[in-house]
Amino acid sequence: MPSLEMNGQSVRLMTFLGLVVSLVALLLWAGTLSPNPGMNSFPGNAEAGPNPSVYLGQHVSLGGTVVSTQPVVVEIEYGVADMRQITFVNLDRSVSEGQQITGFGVLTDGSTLVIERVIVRSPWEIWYMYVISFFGGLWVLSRIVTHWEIDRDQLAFRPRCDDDG
Amino acid sequence: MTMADVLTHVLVGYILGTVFSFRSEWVRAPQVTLVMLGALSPDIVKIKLLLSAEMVELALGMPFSWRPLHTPTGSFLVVGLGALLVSAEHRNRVFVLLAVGAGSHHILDVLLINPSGYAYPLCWPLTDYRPPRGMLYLSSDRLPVLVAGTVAAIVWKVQKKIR
Repeated sequence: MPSLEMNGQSVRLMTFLGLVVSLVALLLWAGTLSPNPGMNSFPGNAEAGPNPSVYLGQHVSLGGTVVSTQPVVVEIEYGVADMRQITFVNLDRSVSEGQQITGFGVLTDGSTLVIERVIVRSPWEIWYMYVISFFGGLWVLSRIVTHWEIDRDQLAFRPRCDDDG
Repeated sequence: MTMADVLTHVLVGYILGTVFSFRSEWVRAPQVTLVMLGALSPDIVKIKLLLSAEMVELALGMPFSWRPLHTPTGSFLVVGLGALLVSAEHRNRVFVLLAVGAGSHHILDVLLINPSGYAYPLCWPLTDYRPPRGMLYLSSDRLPVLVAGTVAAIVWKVQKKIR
């Protein structure tokens, strides 16, 4: 019995676990990274939301829902369920209540963002994106079910029909 | 937030896979499906819409971010995991097909508009530097999906003709 020799399936399992551990390590590591404007990485809702005053005079990127238009006040969400209202000034277009807005600019005080560039989307555009993305995912899923099957001996997927057109 | 919609990515995967099938005998419907799956794979980062990083941090008690899933390095690991799910004789080809799809995803997403004008860190974890974006379109724009859909319909027709 070559007990110390690993067969193909144990190499496969070890490699699989190795990749999972690497991926989890990356997700944990990324959580420790802070924004670094020198690398074009700017604070967002998660960083600037809890305490905007820390980032006074700095570029940040904040997004949320327009709750009033004169002035433009945006409710941004951060953390698990926290919210804060930020006034967006210097917008180059008009917006309406309920629209989703993401603005990049400089925080001049704890509640004012001087905008340099914005993206504005209506609620229906967000829904449109979710709906067609859902159908995109469904299409791939149905093709996997149609074209691939599980080989129970090998515990692996294999094409349903190798010479299928 | 600023990514092309999933359908556009999947259509581009379909186009690439189908065009490969014109040239390579071994690329058939199951293999085209893999390019489409690879093209979708970086968007598993959307899991954050259901389970935010903040919620995971609360549960784990340590810092956490989903962002690496939407970087080329994250894609490499995910594609490797995918290739390990198939039997050994298919593994190398499956890896290549998934990787081509994932690569197309990153190329398309770097062309997207976002407010800061900078993409995500493409070479992370080597460097956290974010290159400027192409600023060509928004993820909710209708043009990319129309263009991709039209080209996909054309290659589908061509494929019907030659087989």
